[in-house]
Amino acid sequence: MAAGGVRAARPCALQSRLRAYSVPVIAFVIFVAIVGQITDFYLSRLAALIAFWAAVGMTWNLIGGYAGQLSLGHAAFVGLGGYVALVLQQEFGIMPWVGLLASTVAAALAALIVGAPTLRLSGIYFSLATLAYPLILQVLFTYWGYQEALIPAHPESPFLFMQWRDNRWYAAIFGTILIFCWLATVFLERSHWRYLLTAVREDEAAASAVGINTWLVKLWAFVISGSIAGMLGVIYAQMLFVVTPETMFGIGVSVQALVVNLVGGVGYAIGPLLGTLIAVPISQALEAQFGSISGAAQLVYGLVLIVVVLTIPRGLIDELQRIDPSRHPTLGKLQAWLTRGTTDVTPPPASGVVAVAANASLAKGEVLLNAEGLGKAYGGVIALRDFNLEIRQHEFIGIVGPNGAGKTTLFDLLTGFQRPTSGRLYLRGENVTRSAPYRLARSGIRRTFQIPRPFGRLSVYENAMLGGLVGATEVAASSMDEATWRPLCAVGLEHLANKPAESLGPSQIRLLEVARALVSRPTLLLLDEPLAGLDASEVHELINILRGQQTEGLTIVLVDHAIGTVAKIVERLVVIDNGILIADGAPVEVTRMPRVIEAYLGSRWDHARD
Amino acid sequence: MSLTTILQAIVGGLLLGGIYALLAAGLTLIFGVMRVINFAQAEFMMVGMFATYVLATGLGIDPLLLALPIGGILALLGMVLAQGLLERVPRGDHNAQLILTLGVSLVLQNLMLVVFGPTPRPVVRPYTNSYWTPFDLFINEARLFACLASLVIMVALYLFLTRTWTGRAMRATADDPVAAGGVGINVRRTHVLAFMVGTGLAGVAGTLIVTFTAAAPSIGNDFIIIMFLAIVLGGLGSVAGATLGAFVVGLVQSISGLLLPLQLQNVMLFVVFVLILLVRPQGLFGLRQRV
Repeated sequence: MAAGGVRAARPCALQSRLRAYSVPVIAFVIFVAIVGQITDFYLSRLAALIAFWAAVGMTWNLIGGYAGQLSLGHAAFVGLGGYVALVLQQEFGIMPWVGLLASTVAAALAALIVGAPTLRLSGIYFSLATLAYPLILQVLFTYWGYQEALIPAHPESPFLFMQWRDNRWYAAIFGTILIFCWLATVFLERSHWRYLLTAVREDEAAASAVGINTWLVKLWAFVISGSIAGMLGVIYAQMLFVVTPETMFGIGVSVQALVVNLVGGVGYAIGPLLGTLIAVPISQALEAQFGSISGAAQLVYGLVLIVVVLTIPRGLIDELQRIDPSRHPTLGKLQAWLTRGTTDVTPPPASGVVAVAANASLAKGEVLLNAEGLGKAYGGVIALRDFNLEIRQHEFIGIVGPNGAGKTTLFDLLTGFQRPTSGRLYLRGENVTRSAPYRLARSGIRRTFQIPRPFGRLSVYENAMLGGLVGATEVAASSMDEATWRPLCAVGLEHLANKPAESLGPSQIRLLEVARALVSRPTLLLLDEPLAGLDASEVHELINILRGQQTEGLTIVLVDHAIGTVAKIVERLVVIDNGILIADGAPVEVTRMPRVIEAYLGSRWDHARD
Repeated sequence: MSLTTILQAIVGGLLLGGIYALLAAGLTLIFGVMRVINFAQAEFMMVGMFATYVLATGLGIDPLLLALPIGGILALLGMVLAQGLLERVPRGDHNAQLILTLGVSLVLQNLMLVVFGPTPRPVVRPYTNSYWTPFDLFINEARLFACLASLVIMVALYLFLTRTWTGRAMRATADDPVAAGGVGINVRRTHVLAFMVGTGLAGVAGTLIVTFTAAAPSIGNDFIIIMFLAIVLGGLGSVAGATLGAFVVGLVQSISGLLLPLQLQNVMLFVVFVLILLVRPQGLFGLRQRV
């Protein structure tokens, strides 16, 4: 996995990198300088809490923001970390510094064990499942007799046992972890991880289609996020000194991790820090003001939360982005910095070379993909029955059939998006029947979707580049930029390279999907109704591009229901009706077959011809 | 373990399930129609419990007679919150909606804490502590009445959803809001109405539950996972599924009480919850139809 080209595309890479990393470091220096001056107990505690929640928020942001998996159970990791170190200390007298290591490992393991199955769930189901994990731990630790755990006091050696009377030490240690998290986030935003995570967040199906193992990407994010949250939990427990399962595993912890992100801005490096700077002082001030009446502080906090969501539903940073920068010059700079300083790319001068050499590993005519008796049933409905198809190298095949004939199902089976209920699939003789979509994509099978699936918020250039980011035909870092521009120029989208994909028109999005597939230099390209919504000249242009790719060695399979158009452009025509292959051969012959005419026009027309 | 103990647990579980059905039906209806996970659902129940406590002890009215009026009050509260909060953030902005319901939950829970304090407030009626004893079984009359009342309301809800045009509009909106708008259904009004029905059902559940469990500000925390489990079991958005799910939850809770120490009963529920999600996220009964 390489993305050197991304970096190379930026002017003054070193300078911009230095600038990006220096911000957190400067912020840390300022934080230490300020905290050093504080002598008041409550103020220094506030500083420690701000650093703690901002860091917890940043760990949540990795899985909840960047990977887009809304976790409602972040407390599971904070609490587990805190309790593992606490139990080690209480039962075995192990110092919390050693416990810190044990807790981090324990939280990482927990994230791995819990995440591996849970991250297969999508959307709301993932959120609901995460809700249960801290609750299970809370009940268990209560049952094991840690309702109110008092950490053994060691006033003689505060440094060895993390038991400082001065909150500034806690502030310093949380601050250090916070800066580490921040720097790590900046690193992430400048590496190819940003693209992998964004692709997963925007559209998991499209991410698998470009060869990303979405589950593994999410699992990495979950484990890293969980382990650091566990580390933070250890120190938090030491600072609180008296620990209850409610304070460590309670829904309040998970909610706070979420709230600081939502207030600041989900998916921005600085979002959780901004959110914490607002939310935590408010909640602490409320506690000081109304602490005597139980519930009053929480009541007002709930009201503040509602007002904040109603006024800035997408967080402060998004709100800031909406202000017109032309009136405030400094604001423009700030906005650019907050949006991760994405530099615009410029297309290379027209070279005339628009061909994208395909990856021809087989000689012309050899069997590339072979479906043997493929079948798919949804409950009682049979979508595809005993389907045999040999796709040979360098072929241009059209698969046609009336609506509902089973074309898209066939495509989903050929690309691993669905598992067949019967039959086998061979790629270059190797059985790939049960291969995941990302694996097939990595072995050179790329597809487009009937309803296009661009990564909406990424630019056109980034969308295309993602096509070549991972896979067996992975493009070398040095030629990444060139590999991305060629298909983009070929489909004529180079002038829109810096526009977000969601701003494109329907036909441009279709072309972008084709370009994204071509960047990886696939061996086999499967196009699901690529001509739908294109006007006559666009159809002509796309067909020319595809023909050009075919002469370069690409094998193409195209699905459509317009038999007339497809018959004119392909070399071999396959007709499906009711899930059964009814014809396979040269277009001229196939279109004359009575069975095909019957399928398309009904039997009346067949008789009329006689 | 004697047969009677097991039977006792099964009967107890079914009674619980009947009452959970009200809560789960409301929650799943709100999700099905609005696509909002309402974290405040248990708090609406809790408010219903306190409202019953005030009216039953203050005016001496029997809680069972209060069920519908208090359901109506909670529906009004639901209308205010749906109109004033949930419909004001962009539809489909799940983060904002989630935080809003969490905020409402915080406000309601702590408002009751400020007003009534943390001490549980029981509503004691003659039937609270009397038992019906067929075949050596002990059946708490309060729970029995609550379960029966709940079943009556569930039948009414079913008739409302299937036999009235408003109910059909609600199901149509759950199925496809765009198409529903296309055939002239006021989607926004239907959303508000679904939220009202959901909160109203929670209020009714509160009046029934308070006859055998004391009202306390934090009581919602004990119910929220139970509700989620029931609606996930039934397949999110399916009222019939949620009803079945509620009975399964009641039975799991009651039977695990025979096998596990009291404190671990909920762990059993949470573990079942996670396992169901992992194995069959579409729900246990495969009831595909929404609402």
